[in-house]
Amino acid sequence: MLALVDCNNFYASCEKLFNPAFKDKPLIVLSNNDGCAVSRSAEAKALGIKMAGAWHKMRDFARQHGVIACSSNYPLYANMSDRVVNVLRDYSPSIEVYSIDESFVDLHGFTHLNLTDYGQHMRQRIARWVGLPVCVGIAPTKTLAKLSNHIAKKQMQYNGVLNLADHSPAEIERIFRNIEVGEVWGVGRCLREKLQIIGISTVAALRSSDPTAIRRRFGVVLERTVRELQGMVCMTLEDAPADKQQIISSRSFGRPVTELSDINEALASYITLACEKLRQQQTVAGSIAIWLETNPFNPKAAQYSRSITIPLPAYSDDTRQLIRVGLWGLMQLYREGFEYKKCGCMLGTITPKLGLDDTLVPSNNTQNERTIAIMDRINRKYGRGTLKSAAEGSNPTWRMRRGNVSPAYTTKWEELMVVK
Amino acid sequence: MITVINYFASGFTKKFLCGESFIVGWPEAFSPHSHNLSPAATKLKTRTFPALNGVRLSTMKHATLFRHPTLPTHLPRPLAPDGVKAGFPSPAQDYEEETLDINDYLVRNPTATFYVRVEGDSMDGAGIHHGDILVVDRSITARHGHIVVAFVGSERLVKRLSLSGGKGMLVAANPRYPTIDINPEDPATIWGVVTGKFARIAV
Repeated sequence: MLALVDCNNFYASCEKLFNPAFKDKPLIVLSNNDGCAVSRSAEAKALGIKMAGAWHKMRDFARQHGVIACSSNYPLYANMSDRVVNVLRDYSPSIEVYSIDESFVDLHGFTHLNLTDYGQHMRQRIARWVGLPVCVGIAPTKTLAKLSNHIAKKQMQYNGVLNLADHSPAEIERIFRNIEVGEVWGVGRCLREKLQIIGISTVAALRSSDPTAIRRRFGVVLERTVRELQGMVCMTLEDAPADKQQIISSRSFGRPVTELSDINEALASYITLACEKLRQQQTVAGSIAIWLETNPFNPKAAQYSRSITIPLPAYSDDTRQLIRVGLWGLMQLYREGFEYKKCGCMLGTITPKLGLDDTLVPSNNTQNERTIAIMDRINRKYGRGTLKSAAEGSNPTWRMRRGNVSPAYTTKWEELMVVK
Repeated sequence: MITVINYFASGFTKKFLCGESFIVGWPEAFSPHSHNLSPAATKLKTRTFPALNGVRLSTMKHATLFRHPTLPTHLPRPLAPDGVKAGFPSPAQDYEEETLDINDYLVRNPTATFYVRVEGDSMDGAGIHHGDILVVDRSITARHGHIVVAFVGSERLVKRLSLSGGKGMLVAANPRYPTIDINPEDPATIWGVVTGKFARIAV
């Protein structure tokens, strides 16, 4: 058995936890550049605000209904997410952190426990210790745990915890008959429509379909989903995530950008971020890809979009070297006269640093390595960006718009919550 | 730890990057799900290829690939408890203790601990002053007499909790501030219990 623990309206709940003025108010959290709603409080959902709804289209509506719109505060959300995972680690030796607000908890062999009570215990402890509401779905497979979690969220009678083992096959059949097939993990809108055409519109129908027939028609992925719904484990818990094979860092600019110098700064800062991640997992990159594009959603503007992949002469994790290469690449892509919306970089051909011999990572780099290590240490201690490459610029005008971002309550001494 | 990369099906090929390092062995020697080498594996002839560059491994049927275990680059430096001295061993050697860490003193449960900053003089009488940073532990159940952080209306307060006869009050430690009635049943009111405080002194 395993449990999926999922925070309810995670970003919105984090915002509400630290601000009593947000209590019982509809609240949404906006994506980067305040583009669209990425998290909605229960009150905002009740108002009919849709996920990914564009902010500029609902601004008037929001004002009328007193909707609070927060810019995303990722340092806060990441810290709160770590706390939730920390609590869960007391409940099982093996946990897969699936996303910032969801974790699978291995309950294999915990047969001496009443797992429903155990789930309830987790839920209450997270609510008390961390201050965030979660729901728990308990089932034999990941797909079923996801589904149970979804049901626990929507249907109040389960009090936030649904353990499928508490229900007889007939009851489960009845529950699944009332859930739309699109709620199953991995069944997107496109697949849902195709399934409906052949008469599979509920979870119960998908579960009772023939896996081999499903495989012939839709492929092995959906076959696995069907088998998982039937209780057969096809996806195991991944508690030790593999190193990333590619590291992407890309963002939209806060405003349309035309000057190469601005894009240079933005790209340099994205490469810096990517290199930090690269070093964190103790790997080196063998290539870097750069891309640059205008806003495809602005039909009036002239469009341009190009990318370039540059192999490196030697594996590297040196921010400054990768910036040099990246900026050279950008120079090849850049054309005057366009309003650019986005640029980004991807580090590729990623390899563990240990085990590379000296011909692949030239050893005269010791000086560079030390410099980078010291930069990392200083930035860890005094905050990201304390020491940075001059290429990043000092007064960026391209930076993301974050009009209404809450304080970094848990990560900056200067921004603590104030009590009177 | 050794991560299992893949098992060979017939015809399996994988291009290897220059510098990737692998142990190649035979499946029966490894327990497939444990991610650990089975005892039998130690007896096995394993081969390490430090730089397999684009080798087609389909010829090596039934082999199992393991990623070479990666080690942390910074190994903790072993403390030499005796120091490296030629003379008489330290008489304090058997009495060494961990150096003091202020975190151990102030924080009991890091997962549930938050820091907040005090503004104003409402708790002066309790030794909590303007500018102090409070240690707030959410895992502790608030009892009568505890100093708590509470949300009342749209305000964030720090006050002493008074509970008697099913009624709750937030009491300031300064006569100039009024006492506030609260509903002790409402879990949203009490945010956490204050378990410590600290401040820097300008020099």
